[in-house]
Amino acid sequence: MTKTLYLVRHGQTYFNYYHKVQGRCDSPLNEKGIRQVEMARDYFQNKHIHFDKAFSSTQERACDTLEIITDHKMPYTRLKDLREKCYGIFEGRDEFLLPWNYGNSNVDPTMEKNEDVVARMRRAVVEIMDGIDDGEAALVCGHGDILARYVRDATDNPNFPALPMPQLLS
Amino acid sequence: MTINLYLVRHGQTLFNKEHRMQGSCDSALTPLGVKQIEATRDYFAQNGIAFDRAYCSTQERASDTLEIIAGPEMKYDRLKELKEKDYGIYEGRNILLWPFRRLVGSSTIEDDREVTERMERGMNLILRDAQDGENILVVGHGDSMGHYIRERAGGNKFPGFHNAEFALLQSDGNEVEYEENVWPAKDVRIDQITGN
Repeated sequence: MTKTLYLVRHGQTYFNYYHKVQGRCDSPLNEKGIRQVEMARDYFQNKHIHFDKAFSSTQERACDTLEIITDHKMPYTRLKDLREKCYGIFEGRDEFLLPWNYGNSNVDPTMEKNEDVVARMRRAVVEIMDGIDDGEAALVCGHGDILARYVRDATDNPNFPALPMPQLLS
Repeated sequence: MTINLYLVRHGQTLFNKEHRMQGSCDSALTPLGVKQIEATRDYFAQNGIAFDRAYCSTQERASDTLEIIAGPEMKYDRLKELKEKDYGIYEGRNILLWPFRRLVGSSTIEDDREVTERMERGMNLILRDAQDGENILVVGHGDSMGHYIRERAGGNKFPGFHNAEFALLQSDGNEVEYEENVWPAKDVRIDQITGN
């Protein structure tokens, strides 16, 4: 028997819309983001996909996404390990300042290292797997960078594209 | 019936330190912020104040603060009503821009009356479940808690909250009265170089 995880990225937030770097910092879902998540909720309902357990990062945009998907009806566990990568001094600042956006390959020391991000996600997945039984399905609401990096690492698929929001993988 | 409500403001966050408006957006507690909250936690322990119930806003800086004060074993409820005021287009921006709200973007900012009304709804939810003699921890935010105290708890002269400062309110189940503020973290400092 297998355990199934549905990894969902949160809906669009104010900082996403204004192209502000949003890693460890947080902003609320905007109206479009709420509608996007409602569409994800409807998708799961139409496909009769049922979640036995629900997990989310501790950041409010992920919790809000989970609460909409589960129609505010499921208790859920918040895990600090599911949080987005920390972008250090770039947090809350304009995206065009990020080094990779202007051909700068330097890594700022205040940014969380990619290996650490993947390691955190692996720990979170272990904890989630321990929390569900064989044959069960869990909803996991998280963030684009960490989820994509984990999927690339776990499935040995370096070309896995970034997650637009909210996209689900299972 | 007497219920003791301890309204605590979260510790210093990155955006606080960088002098950026932080309302509906959120950023992590800094090392100083954590130390400030630990001082507040120690104050409660030294004065024999144990909490029967705990609540915080849904924002992570509040839940992180609560978990430090009440410990990892305490069960708590997160309430959206206790969130900070939404500063609209000023969110995350330098506080020096704030005076320009009279000219630009005031319609994007949450109205003060709405803030007070939702805080009252949140506090009423808390009071509804509270029992006589209980100590209740409520971790929230400076502006929204400040409005509630000034407009609904008779604290018209309430000066405001520093990071990790708390206000004690007492209630008979219906009316809420502001008693005092205490700032155990007033002299807490951190060495920028060693981090201690």
